[in-house]
Amino acid sequence: MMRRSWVGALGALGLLVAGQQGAFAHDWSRDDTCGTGTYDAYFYPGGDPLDWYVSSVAAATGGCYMYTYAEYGGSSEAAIWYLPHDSIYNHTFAGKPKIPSNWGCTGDPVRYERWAGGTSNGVTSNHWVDQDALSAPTWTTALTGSFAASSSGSGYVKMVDLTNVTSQRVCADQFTYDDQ
Amino acid sequence: MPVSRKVAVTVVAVAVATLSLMLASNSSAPLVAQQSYERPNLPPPGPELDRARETVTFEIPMPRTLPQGAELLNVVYTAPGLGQPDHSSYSTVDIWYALPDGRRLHVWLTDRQDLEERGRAPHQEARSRPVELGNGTWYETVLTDREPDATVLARTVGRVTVTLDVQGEAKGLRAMAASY
Repeated sequence: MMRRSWVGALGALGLLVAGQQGAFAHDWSRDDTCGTGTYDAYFYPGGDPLDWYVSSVAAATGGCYMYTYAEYGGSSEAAIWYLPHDSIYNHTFAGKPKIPSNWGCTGDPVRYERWAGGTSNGVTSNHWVDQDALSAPTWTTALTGSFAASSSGSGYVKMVDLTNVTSQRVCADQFTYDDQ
Repeated sequence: MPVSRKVAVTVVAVAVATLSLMLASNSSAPLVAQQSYERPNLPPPGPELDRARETVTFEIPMPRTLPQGAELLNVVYTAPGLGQPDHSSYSTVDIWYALPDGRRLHVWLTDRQDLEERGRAPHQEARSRPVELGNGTWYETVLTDREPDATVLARTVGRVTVTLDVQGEAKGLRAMAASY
């Protein structure tokens, strides 16, 4: 009788866990961690390191953010925020960069690329984002799209320093994937 | 309380605690990484490097020496045909190594041929100084806008520009550069 009670209790618990798995939010958010040398494991500032700069401001996540300067005609620097390589993140997300207006980030559209299934599958879609217009609220949706990790790659968003102008700040701080 | 009942209570308590931890770790609040090293759940970097070798428009030079304990962490590349119109004539490869003390070492490679025209060739960097490492001249720049400082070493060999950077102690970086 007692054994049956245990089995029943554990079974109910198992069902509860299984039910919760389906209900878990898959929101995901990563920060640049300011070029401290021990970056967030899911954030990668790529390209020429000589053109990445660090600015310390209290409003930035972690107390600072990174920026580069806009290029015209060909991108050089890129910031990447990965999703984990796990099928539970095969979802549609709203991508939200955190960029307050007083950081002086460019008002000229910056290209955010959605690489839904990793690098070898190529760019899935491009989204042109006015970083200066993300100011209020600070979590404005910059892009929406689905992601699907495959054996050859994890989904990610890559912000590149390509605009129609030069010499303006292109900024990278925290980026949130809001499950839709 | 009978022993069997104590066992049952213990089992259920452990299960409830486990469930609580699962729920807490999957809460809807965005997860922001701490500034400590964390092995990411990303696809294995070795096969990604192989795919980069098969895809990019140049032969990827590799060092004979890495800093002690360095492990390949992540590889990202761009190449013609991956959906970035501005990358129709050149490729880039970013390789990150994890160092045992939690830092990252970054390698950026490109066969972009307009770096000099754009004032971005290694020898044109105003903050740099030439250093003899191995069989060649590298251009070393120290970036002081972050804590700790970052050291960047860059050199163009043939069609390919190689740039290495790490924050903090840079002895291993110079030895690595000398082995290209």
